[in-house]
Amino acid sequence: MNLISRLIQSFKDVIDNRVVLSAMVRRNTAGRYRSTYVGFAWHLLMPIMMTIVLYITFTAIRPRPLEDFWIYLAAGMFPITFISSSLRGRAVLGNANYLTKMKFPREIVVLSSVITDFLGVVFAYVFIIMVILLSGQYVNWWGAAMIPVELGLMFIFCLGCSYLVSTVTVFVRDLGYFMSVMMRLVFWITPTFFLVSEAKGLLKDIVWFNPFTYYVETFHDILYYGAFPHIEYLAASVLLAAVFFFVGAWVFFRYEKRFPEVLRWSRE
Amino acid sequence: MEPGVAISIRGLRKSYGIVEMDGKKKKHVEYPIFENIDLDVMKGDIVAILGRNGCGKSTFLKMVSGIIEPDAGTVEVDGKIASILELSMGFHGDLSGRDNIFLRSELYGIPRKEVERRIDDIVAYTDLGVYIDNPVRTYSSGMRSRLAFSVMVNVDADIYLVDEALSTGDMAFASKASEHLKELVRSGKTVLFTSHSMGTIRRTCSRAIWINNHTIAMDGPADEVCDAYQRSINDSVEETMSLAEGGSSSAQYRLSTFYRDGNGVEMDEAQRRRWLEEAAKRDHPMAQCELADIILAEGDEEAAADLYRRAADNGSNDARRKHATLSGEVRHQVERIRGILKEQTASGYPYDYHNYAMAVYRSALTADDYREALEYFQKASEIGWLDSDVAMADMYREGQGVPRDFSRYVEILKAAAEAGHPRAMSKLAEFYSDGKYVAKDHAEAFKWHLLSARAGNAKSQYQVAAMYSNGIGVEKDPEAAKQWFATYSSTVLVDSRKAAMEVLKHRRGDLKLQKELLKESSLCFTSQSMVSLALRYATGGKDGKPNPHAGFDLMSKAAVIGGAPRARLAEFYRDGIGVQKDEAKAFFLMRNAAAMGDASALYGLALMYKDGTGVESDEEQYRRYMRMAAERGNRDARDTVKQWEARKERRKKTKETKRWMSCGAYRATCRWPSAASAPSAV
Repeated sequence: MNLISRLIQSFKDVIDNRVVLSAMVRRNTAGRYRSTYVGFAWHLLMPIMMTIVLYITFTAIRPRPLEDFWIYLAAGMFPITFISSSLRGRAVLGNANYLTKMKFPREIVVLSSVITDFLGVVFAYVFIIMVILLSGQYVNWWGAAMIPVELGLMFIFCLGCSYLVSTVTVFVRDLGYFMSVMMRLVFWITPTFFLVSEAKGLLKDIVWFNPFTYYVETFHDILYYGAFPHIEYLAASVLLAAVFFFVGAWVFFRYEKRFPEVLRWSRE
Repeated sequence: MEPGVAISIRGLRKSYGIVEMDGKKKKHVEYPIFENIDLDVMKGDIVAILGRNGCGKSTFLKMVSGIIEPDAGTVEVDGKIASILELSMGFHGDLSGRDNIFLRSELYGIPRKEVERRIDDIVAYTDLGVYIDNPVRTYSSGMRSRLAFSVMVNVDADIYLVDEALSTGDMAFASKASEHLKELVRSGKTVLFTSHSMGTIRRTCSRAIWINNHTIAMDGPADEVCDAYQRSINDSVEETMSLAEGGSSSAQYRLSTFYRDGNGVEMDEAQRRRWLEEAAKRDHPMAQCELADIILAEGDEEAAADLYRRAADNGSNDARRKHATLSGEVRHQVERIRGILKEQTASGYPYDYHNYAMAVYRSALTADDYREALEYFQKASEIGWLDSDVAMADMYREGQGVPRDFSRYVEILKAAAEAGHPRAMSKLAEFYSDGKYVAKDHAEAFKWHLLSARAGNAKSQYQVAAMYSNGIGVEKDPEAAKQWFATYSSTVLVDSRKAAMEVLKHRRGDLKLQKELLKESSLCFTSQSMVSLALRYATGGKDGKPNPHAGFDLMSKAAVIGGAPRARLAEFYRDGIGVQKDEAKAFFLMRNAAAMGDASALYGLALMYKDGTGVESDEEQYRRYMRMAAERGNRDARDTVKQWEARKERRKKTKETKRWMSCGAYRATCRWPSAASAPSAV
């Protein structure tokens, strides 16, 4: 109950400080691609280029070619980029400068970094859907209607992950390095460039224990197969989002008061 | 929280985890930062926080701002806070100054539209010119603090917290900033800032808080706290030593005095000399002077004179005098005068001691001279000579012939002031109001200023008036203030009035006009006029009836001033004029007046010893004081002493006569007209 009331409080704080939130998001986007020619477009460009690279690579090495492989790849690439950036756990550490010098609701730093990444996914999907429509692929409109819902669930899931990882990283710096290795693993064990049905051996055993699989598979259902997503995938998405969000928020609000003190130790 | 309070802190406690080396192992331990801090800051206050590096000033501001939470206790804040905490300011290095203004302002919760409206003003305020559109990464720390300050003051906050930001900007910006802070305070905002610049704190703040040893060591008017803080730094041996090693001449000199007086370190002549030489090399006048003293004592006059000259060039009065004495070939004169005066001290009279001591003091070259002077001042003071007390006090202040001792200085001065020495009273009053040598105390300051004002000191009269009108150290009293202002402005004219009275007297002017002038003059508390007016009241003067009560009243007012009026007052008590006769009191007053060197008092005191008024009659004391009074120029006393001499001569003559008669020379003596000179001629 304590957590619920704290979350309600937090919600009110964030609403009151929405100016701060939007400023942070703007800083994240404007600051990150500062002094580049393309600017924020890199947010979109990077996964697209990755997709192209992977497309070229895997088309060559796949045992049997997959029809419209680029759609399959693109549909999975964006969620996985989003998820792995929320797992980097840099939200609190990267904003030590502000946390130790200004008073505002501390959850804003996490929220703003997740929102920034989320905006990238949203743009990307708008882009992909346009491309799919242009290429004359079949679109199941009922399925397409589920995209915003699934994106919302993924947002909550990632917010939870980010709460959890960025809090722990403040106290245990090692986690940051560990997570960068984990992110690579996540990429390889999540069905982005292979079909779930193709998984063999160990991969086959763990692929359904990987929470990210459910989100990626939902998007594959909608965009690649042009169908309404499996209900069990949706249910798993809801469950995972709820669990990770509550666990992450609990950890975050338990320790956030100590951030400014601990962040004195080293700041970047 | 009470109304009018902007920040209220109760029972604040905080400790940090810090790293401690345990052998080669790092250990995290809890280190207390604050223990039990209670503090109220009123709205419209500008408060400085000072303390050594690492004492927790910045942490304190962060706790007020709510960034860091206390372990125990409460921090309540009434209003919105804007702050600059730490020098890196929390800017985004890649963004331009202008973009950072947007970002910071939005982080304070100002909507973007609002910032857009104000941006031109803020940019103009930063005065950064073309740099404003360049990345903050390229800024110097001074430019960053300008930017941060400009953003901060443009936030409509109620409380402003500034950590060390004023110290990095250039002079023009620093003064602009501190003026702006004052302006904010005038409009009812509250400002809290930390600084190491005592000058800024004194100029800007009304109040200061000194944090030391995890708690508030001192909290009070900025000047007082700064003084105490600076004193604590100056008195700290380690601090002084590190400053001295770093080449600060004043610290080197201070360190030499530590070694000289054994203050916090073992007394060590070699070390003292070493630091004196270091300081002298860097042209520290006092060190040069002191070093010259040592060299002179060792016998090298030339080197000493040279050092004195250098010290004199650097502004030491003492050295100027010593250099002149050493090189001016007047030392034989000095020796002679000292010799003459020293011989006179055989009389055992206080003023002889005083005169000799003064002569030695004025021509002192070595520490031995000062010690000698001090010894004789002390002798005079023991017999009750107040001028000597004041001179002795000065020696304690200057550390001449005795280790410097301000508390002793104040103590002696206080005693002299209580005995009614006017100069001591006015000095003491100033010390209490400036917080020099003693803790600032407005009530005490008022007390002494009032006494000093009644003794006719114009400066004190103005002070008393000002204190009455502002209600400092005394209840506000516009009437009294008005009166004292009038007295002050009238006192300024005392000399001219005196001149007018002289002229009237000599040209046989209007008697009535003279009396009026006298009355006016007595209102300015000039002792002469008060005494003569009081006497006129008592005796009735040339016109009118005597009014002994008025006379007594005026005289008792005049008696604070000095010797003569006090002696007159003693006479009033002795003779019961306008007051109940009180011989003991009369004796007490008379002795006190005599201590101030008044001849008539000495005469009066002699008579009291003779008649046993208020004291047991004592022939020896009677003769002693009578002679003193005669020497100090009291005419009655001179006559008495003359009579004594004459009687002695007569007695001698009678004795001689008897001898001569017996040897048959009687006839011869009778022929000389002057009997007194006869025997020596024979």
